[in-house]
Amino acid sequence: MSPLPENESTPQTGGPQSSADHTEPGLVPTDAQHQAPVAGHARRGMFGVHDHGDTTGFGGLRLPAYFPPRAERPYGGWFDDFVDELLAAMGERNIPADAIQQITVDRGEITFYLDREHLVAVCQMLRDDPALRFELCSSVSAVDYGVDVPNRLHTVYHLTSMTYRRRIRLEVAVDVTDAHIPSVVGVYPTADWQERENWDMFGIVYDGHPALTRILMPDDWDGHPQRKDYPLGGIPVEYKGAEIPPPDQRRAYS
Amino acid sequence: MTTENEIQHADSRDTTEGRVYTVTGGDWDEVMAEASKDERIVMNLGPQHPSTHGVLRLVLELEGESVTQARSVIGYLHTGIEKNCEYRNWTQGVTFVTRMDYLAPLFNEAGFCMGVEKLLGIEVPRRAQVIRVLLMELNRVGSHLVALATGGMELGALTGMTNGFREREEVLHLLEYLTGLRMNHAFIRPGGLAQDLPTTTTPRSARS
Repeated sequence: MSPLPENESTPQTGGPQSSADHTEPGLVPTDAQHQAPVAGHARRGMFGVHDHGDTTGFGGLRLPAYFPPRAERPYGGWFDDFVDELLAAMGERNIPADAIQQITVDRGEITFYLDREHLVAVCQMLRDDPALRFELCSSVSAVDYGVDVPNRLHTVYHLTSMTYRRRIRLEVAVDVTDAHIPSVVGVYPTADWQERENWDMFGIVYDGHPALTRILMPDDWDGHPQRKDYPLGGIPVEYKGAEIPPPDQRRAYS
Repeated sequence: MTTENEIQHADSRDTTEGRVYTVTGGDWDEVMAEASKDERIVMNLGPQHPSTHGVLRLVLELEGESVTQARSVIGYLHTGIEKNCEYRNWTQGVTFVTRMDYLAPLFNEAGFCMGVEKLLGIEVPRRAQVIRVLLMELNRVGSHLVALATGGMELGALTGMTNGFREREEVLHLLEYLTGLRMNHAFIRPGGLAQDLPTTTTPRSARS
């Protein structure tokens, strides 16, 4: 593991961005972070229980809307030098500096929120530039931040530099009505199946992917299961002629 | 008698000894191309094939005996753990991740719990950390014994297989004694462990 920046070695709990208990106004973000490219939404309770008596014991839980804070220099550790190198390389390749919408440093890990238009160019540069050398794309995953959240679908790229023993995270947020992200398979061939999985699970279309088909679910499946508005156990199961309804539609005994 | 029309692919040259034909390649490839088109088969391999344990299906395109394309179909082991955990708390998540790999349950538990602890900013007590490492080491020994055993099995060394699984059984007995279960322990929890080790741990481990 990369050495942690010194100020990140002991994570602090209960800060303004944590999910710990906050007073009432904490549920509504008031500062400029509201315009951040990434957002969650405030929640009460747990497990989506709203309309009847709380049997979960989590009814009093109040989670503030999640906004990753914009990091300020110095970022700490190797992050400052690295960001300088990154911006210099972007200048060389005529990638506009605002392709990076936000930089967040959290728990000793650095995340770059990127514009989708420049994603492939930035990946190519991260792979090829001698000062960066992120040879390995360890993971491409996705997140759905939930209904009514702007730019709710995110794709997260974890890049590893074997040469410099560094790890960074790239994140691209798109809206559910226009869930298109350019494919990075041309730069990182290992992203092939992982982009297929994200298409399968989240319905994100990777433009330029060689064969974007479902990978885990059957080919004729409807919907994308890991979207937050996709129900748990959403299909009835037939067994020996009888139909067993999905868990959320079964008879209640309370 | 041969005529000009029948030898289309042969160049000819008139010499003092008579006409000499030069038969060259080219037409044979065309013949084979025609023939192999007729032998094109799309074949399904698995997901029940013995060497794939029912988790991989291959759709093969064959021309004669040559595989010209292969497409792998996965997803038979997909269990939707992420979706299930949307409606569960983090302690319950351990129950799922311990089932992700039957050879490395404790490693999956430890990885999951360390992720949760990093998110929460929790530092685990030193004793719990040490016990985690000890349990993972036992798990690792058991996993490697299975690797050796099945490696022997693939080579036809059946005694190697039974010896490997016999020794793994000792590891499983020990893990059962320490965590309560041979598999699916759910023993490592966010923040530490489900419970402390039994007080008689050391003599028993030494005996095993």
